[in-house]
Amino acid sequence: MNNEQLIMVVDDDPDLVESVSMRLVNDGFRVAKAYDGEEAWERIREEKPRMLILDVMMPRKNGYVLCDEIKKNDDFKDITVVLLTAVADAVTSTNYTHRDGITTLADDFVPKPIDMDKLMDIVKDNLEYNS
Amino acid sequence: MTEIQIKGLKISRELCLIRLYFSTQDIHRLPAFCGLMARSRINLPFISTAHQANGFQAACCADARHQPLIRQLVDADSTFSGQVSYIPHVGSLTLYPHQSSLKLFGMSLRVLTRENFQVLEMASSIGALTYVLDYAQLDAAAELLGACFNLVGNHSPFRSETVVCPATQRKPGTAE
Repeated sequence: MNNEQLIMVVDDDPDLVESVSMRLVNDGFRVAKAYDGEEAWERIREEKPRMLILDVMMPRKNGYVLCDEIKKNDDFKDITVVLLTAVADAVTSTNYTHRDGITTLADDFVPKPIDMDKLMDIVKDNLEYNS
Repeated sequence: MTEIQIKGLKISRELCLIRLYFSTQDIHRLPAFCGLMARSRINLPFISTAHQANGFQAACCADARHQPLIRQLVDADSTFSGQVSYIPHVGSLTLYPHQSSLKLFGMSLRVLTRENFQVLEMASSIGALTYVLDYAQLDAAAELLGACFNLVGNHSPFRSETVVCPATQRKPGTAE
């Protein structure tokens, strides 16, 4: 089942992209990688992943804006979005309002530094629940 | 241009390079130094270590604005006496992803040294290859490497636009 499911990892930290990707591949998922929000948006339109593991603070287009665009787009709104955030201690839900006044509704979030086992639990729970 | 494709190049802000020299039995001093920095919320975006015959050398980079505080913290701890040196006005240049490519490493190092860029430190991590250079040379080095490798179209800007502000700090131009 996992072989059918493409997960895109998006972060401007190449080490984080690589380490998360390696874990996902080891667990049997297909992985696409992007290094900023704009590149991710291009690749989402080309490859339509099942899930996005998305950093918040990135150049060109940040994770909040990209998440908002995905969730408002009929073609892509079903993509599961997991936000990676370093400010999780101030977050009580997956509904964020960021500084530019845009409210972002992600499906889940993982605080940084990432607990890889927790991330994998979230990935598997979301994909199994939605499959 | 070579056939080697890279997804991006990143240029850091101005950094200071801190070199630490320890004997083999003092290897625990590096975690102690990192702890000292962490307690003062000083980010170290680059750390590498090199083992030598009679000890080892560690190289760390921190934001240039933190250099006075780092000196102050280190000077206040006598166990670091004589073990630390500083090189100001440096920056890091990161190529990614390197995919464990020795070709990328060899070619980038050859190009940089051929053009007389002084490579102060270098390290490869799981996803990136990083050089620490004179800050004034970063743009020229990035241009050189960008022309040397097959950099994908629509790549991220070399300099990050992202600036982290404390939550209490208002965005420029917004009302109180």
